[in-house]
Amino acid sequence: MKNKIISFFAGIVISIYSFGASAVTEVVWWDFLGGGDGVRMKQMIDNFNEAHPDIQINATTLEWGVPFYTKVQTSAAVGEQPDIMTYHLSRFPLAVPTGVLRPISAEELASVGITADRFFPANWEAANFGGATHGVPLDIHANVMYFNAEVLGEAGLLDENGHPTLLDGVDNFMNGLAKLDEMMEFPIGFASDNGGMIWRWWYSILNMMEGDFVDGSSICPGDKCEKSLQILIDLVEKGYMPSNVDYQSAKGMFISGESAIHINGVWEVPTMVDLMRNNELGFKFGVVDMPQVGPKMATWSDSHAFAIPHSDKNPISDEKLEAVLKVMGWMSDNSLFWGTAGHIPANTEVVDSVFYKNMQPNSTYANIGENMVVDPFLPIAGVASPTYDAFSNYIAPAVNGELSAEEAIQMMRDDLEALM
Amino acid sequence: MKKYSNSNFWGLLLAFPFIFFYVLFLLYPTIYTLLFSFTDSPLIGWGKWVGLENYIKLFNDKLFLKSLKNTFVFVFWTVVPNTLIGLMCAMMINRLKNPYIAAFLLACFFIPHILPVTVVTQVWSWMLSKQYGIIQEFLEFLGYAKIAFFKKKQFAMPAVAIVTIWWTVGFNILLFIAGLKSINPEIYEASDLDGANSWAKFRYITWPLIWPITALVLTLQLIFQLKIFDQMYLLTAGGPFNSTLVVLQLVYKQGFQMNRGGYASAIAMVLFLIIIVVSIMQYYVLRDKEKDK
Repeated sequence: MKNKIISFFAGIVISIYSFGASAVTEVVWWDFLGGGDGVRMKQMIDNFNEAHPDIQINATTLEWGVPFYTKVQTSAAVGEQPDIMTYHLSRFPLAVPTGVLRPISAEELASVGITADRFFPANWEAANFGGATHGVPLDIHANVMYFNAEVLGEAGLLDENGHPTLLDGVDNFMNGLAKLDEMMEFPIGFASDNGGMIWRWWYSILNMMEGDFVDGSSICPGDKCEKSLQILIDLVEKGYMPSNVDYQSAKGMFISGESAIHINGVWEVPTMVDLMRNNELGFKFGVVDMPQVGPKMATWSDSHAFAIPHSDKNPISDEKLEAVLKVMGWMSDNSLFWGTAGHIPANTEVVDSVFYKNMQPNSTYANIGENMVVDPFLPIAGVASPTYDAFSNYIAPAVNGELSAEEAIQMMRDDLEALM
Repeated sequence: MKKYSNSNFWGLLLAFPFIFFYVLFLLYPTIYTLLFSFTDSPLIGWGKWVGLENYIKLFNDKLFLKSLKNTFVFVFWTVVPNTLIGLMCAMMINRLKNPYIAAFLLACFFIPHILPVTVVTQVWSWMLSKQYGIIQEFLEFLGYAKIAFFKKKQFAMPAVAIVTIWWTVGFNILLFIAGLKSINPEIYEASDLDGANSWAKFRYITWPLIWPITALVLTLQLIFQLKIFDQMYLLTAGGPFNSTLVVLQLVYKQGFQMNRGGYASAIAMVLFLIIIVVSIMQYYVLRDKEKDK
């Protein structure tokens, strides 16, 4: 005990002295990366800290979605904001007008080698919403289909290369599921109670069917919205996926082998890879595009970016800014490792590298880049927006049999159009 | 005379810390919110003065009227049941001869009350989870299908009410036990001599004598439950399709999610007024009843 006390005080004394001597800049970091990708990000932060004795990132992972963005908003208002944070590009249209993001000048970015030509044009454009750079894209992440190769093989749903076949087109998809349904209670493990998860799949289906979410000031013109929602409703009604499953349970259904198909974002790739590596998965899994149920292929996607919160009360100091820029530059240069978190790095040089091209299982879904659709660039859309809210509030109950597709879409339409 | 003014001084001095914090943390923010409600302010910082515009908009806002209705539905599910269950439990504990068992039971009922709301809602969302909830096993054993309690319109509100009662009933039991203990046992002895049965004893002795406590518990409950937010936010977030959207959830939504500080303040002020009016009304109703006795 006595030793512990002594070493405790010694630790304090040493840290005070070392602080005075080498002047370590502390960078307060907030992220929302709670999935399998969060583990990879912690590794990257450790690597950064090791390589930079003069900068120490002090990272906190907060609850994804509304809680995170509310906290950012209020903390910046009172001057208690972090120095750097992760932010979804889909939310920039909502965030930029509130002034919570500090614009980063081209010179500041260039000082750490961040230039427009190193990013995908659409991505960089999104990060420049409002006429100034408000963040540095880290990745592009999309929705994919995880499949149990053994079960799909047994059901005759794999081709000679081991890729799922016969799942494209609504009829083929339903027939394939009917086959799987004979082998298991629920072929699909999907977080059917989660508004965000439903948005990602539904928005992909809507775009596959060539429908629009917004047209001018009207939400869901035509009947494509109802039709795409009906597909998800049918999946529950026919017993292909259970109603009201939460995120963790849906993932668990796939991992335990209870379900052969899991629709989720690429951020769970590291979870599956790690389980496989430790021989805990018990089967061979694959990751591919979601089933194409319309005339064209479309995949919902979004991007994580790094941003600097702006506060009138307590703007970031020059010293901290310099450190934060270094962090942004380093993270972008080293985002190959972020590829192991399932994401597609936003830095094109990294994506073009041989290392990334050979990365498994990322290379099996590399083609999603061609079919990506992003959330509408409107203040009502994007992560933790009124649209996400409406999906939890109205669309999730429809998927779970509480409302008809028409009722749910109409309720959402009324709600969102009032905000336009 | 000198002595009187002296005690006045000391009284004020002793009350000063309370008055200071009361003004700083209650009066000042309340006045600020009131002023805010007449502006189109964002969440933080002042906006343009818009007069009564927010209030006019409010009474045409279908969602606000719905949230008001939902709040009263929640009051219906909690206030009287919570009071009656509290009274019943208190009477049962009070009848126990062994003081240790009584103390143990009282502690059991009271422990949930000291838990933070986050723990309470986490425990219940585990117990009621559709996938692995222990209550679901029980339902299956009885031959029913699994129920996603917080996702179904007909179950969401009662489920949150049950969680709330489980969480807060301990406090009511405590108040009732204090009330029951204060009834002179000689009155019961006298009624025994007159041959009163248990129901008569409850109806003509316990109930009237404990009425002041009942009125207090009812009033406190009404105020607490009108302010419902935490459990609802954590368990249902207002869904499914706004069936559990309560007034404070709407304040949160408008203020923190939509960045409309002025409008959110107007909603908050209306709720504030409703709570004051309803509690005063209830106070008068209950007081009259007490006089009649």
